[in-house]
Amino acid sequence: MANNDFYKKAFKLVEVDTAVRFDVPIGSDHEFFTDFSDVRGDFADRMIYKRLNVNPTTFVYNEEANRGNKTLLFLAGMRGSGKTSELAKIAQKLNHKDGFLCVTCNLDEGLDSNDMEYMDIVIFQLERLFQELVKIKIEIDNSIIESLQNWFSERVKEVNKAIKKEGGIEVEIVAGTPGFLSFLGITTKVKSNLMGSKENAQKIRTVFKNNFSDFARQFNLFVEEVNLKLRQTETAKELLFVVDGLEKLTSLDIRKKIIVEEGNRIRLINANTIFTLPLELMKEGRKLMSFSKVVPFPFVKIREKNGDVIEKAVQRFIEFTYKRIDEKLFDSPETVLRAILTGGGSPREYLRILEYANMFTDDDAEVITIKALEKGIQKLAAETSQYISTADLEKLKTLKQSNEDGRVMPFDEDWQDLLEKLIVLEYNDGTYKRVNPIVEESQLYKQYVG
Amino acid sequence: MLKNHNYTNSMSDKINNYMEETKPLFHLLRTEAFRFIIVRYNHYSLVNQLKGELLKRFPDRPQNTIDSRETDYRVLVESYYKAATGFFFIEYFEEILANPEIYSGLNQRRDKLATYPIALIVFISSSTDELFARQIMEKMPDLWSFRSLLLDLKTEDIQVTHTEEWHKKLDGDTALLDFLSRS
Repeated sequence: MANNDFYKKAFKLVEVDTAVRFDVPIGSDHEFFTDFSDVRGDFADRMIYKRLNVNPTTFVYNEEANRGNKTLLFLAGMRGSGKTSELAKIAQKLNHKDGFLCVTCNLDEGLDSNDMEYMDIVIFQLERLFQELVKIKIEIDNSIIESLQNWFSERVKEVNKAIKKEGGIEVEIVAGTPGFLSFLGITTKVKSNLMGSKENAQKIRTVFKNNFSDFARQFNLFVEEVNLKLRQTETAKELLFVVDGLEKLTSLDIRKKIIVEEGNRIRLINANTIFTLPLELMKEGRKLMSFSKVVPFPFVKIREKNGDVIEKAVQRFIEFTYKRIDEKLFDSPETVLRAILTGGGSPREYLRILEYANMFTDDDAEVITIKALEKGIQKLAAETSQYISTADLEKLKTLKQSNEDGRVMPFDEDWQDLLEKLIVLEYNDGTYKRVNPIVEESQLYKQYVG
Repeated sequence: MLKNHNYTNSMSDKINNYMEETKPLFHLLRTEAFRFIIVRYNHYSLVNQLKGELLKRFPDRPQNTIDSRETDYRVLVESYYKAATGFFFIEYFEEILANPEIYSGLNQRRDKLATYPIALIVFISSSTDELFARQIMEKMPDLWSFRSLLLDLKTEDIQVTHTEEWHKKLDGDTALLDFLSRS
């Protein structure tokens, strides 16, 4: 999470490029952070708090209501909708003595996005938990660690036996007195082997998966002990894992396998967890709902279905804009409004529009003009002809007609594809779709759809 | 093959659009930061022209070039990390799009690539599929979402391009090329 001083509000045009960087996730304590949670249509962050048994006003966790029944929640949204920033905000709000100890696990930083299974994620969660406990100096009963460590050591021996049979390089683990650091060493070693050779990774997974019920029992016992210590030391009431980055895993197959096919294993792990859910797996929502809660995380709704502008959402985007770029760097508020409406409610797409407007600003200009913005929009719109097919245009025509008639479009694979490509944007709980305004600006769309 | 539409609504249909297309690019590159820029061209001379102009405008920024036809994933990323700054050109990017090891590797390393203040400029020939950007967004969705700009450079001298393309396609069949050049 980039919270460094490099990203500052722009007071000169030359500073705008940095201020509109959309490849940098913003933490909730950064000056750029804008809370969009109450302008996302049917979505409200209180839905997440409620599902976690947290009071949405005081952020106090009611552990009695949740005892023995931990919450597993999937936050499902499109690329660029702001899931990572929202999760950072939630983790910050809930990380206190009457709430949770939030342990964030960024999968793309900690594991191999090209080769991953659910087993890898649980081991990573355990490693991240240990790192946090070491950081905040929470001590856990040694007998619990010893039990966990012995169990891990036994499994590693089994793994090594299988590796040895085939003449591979064994997982090296230095035997030591059970304790925090020596166990952290083991998990780190196992995790690095999961990221190493495919053969070894597969053997580790096979051994751990064959013993998963036992592993889950050990894991749950440990989490229970941690929760007890957190309460005793008044650090927090319970643990909450935030697992982000599933959409960055290389293939749909890997993502699907983890989320859908490993459902039986996921439900054995008794720890409060929020996962980000890749949009393409939303259609698996029903299966997920049998053991978890799914919360859709749509774009900011800046227009009603009938086309009316939603003032509150626009105001929030204005706030978002002026946190990054000084008001004086625009020729008029109308220019900002035009850019906001063309962004369609996606913070990332909106920043891209501002970046393009800045690119088309004359060298000697002192402000971003409506003319530069229009040039930027036209350029972005023209680029869409490089990826929109005739079949897409047919679907867009149908969508436009349905919205005009006030009908809801039934879901199919083609919509999924258009959503993933951001050709169509989705609002509310997925029942409201609109063509991306940038696409609507293109000559191609105007000629074909009208 | 992707289905295509009949409209010729490309980014700029003008012949010799180099000046117009590159103006926003030079503006964007004023600030040294990670950029992912896709450049389509209808004549290879445009690649050299652009590289030359970048050198002239930004003489302090080092340039590194990778030929996609002669690389693998490891060489490519190691060269990128070693470069650390400046311009990193990948020529014949269409070859990358045909190589799952490289394109999926680059996609999954997006966040790491983006930590370097490098302008990653990829060149793709216009003889490839019209919907080339769709291929990039499907094969490298994460890197695509970080794109900074798409350029579609055109020059009048497309006859030469076609000859070059035929050379490539016929893999040096000189007799056939000779026949084609006479016909």
